[in-house]
Amino acid sequence: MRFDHRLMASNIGGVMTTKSELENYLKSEFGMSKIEGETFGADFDLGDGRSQGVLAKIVDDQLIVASPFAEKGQVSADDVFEASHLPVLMMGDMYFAARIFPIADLQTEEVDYMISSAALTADGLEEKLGLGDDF
Amino acid sequence: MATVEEIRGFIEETYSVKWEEGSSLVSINFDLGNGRSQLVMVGVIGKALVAASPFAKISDISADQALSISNTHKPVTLLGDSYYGHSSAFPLENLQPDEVLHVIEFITQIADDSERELGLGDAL
Repeated sequence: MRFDHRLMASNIGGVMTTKSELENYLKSEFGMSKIEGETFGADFDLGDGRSQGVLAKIVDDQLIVASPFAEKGQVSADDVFEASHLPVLMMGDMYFAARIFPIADLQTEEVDYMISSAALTADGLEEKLGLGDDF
Repeated sequence: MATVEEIRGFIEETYSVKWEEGSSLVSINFDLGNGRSQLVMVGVIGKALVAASPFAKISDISADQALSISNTHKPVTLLGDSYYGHSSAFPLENLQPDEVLHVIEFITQIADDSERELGLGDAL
């Protein structure tokens, strides 16, 4: 799916009050598919030959958006923090750029922002850490 | 809610704090009950509301320990050059008052939880 963060600002905001509304938005707006439970994922074409995978996970009353940029064996945790002052997390043996936000009152443009900022941060970190475009 | 002034005014009124002249961030020290407190920095940077709360000095734990906290789905941020913490940033546009409160209080709570999980007492 083509991903153009410059278009995000034109989205008209709407409040999603239920998890199912949020799930439907992730599927319809971003072409995300369910991976397991309440985890959704999609790969985005960032242009210039680069792509980026993004996961959106609903945990309790939070939406977590995470985009991988390295495996644990490729870089150390020190390398990660040296490269980034933005939120990162580990899931399994992978490092992710991540955003978290309470679902209550979440609006569509805020979901857009979480997805675009996580994807662009992860892609930037891949480049900064000299890791190619593996994710 | 959309402007920097409105956001600042809302935070000042809600938490009885005052922005210092020329400062982009204001510090709030929350009393979380049970003898615990938690520091959070809130501000408007560019066109985004930013909230950040530290849970450890980088001299007190390793980067691996800091990231171990994120296994419970709490993204970790290096705050400045001295602290690990949790943070969130969101565009001001269409930000609702409830969301401002949610972000500030959520980041505050998970930072205190992380401090406790790591056995670091209540220094921050």
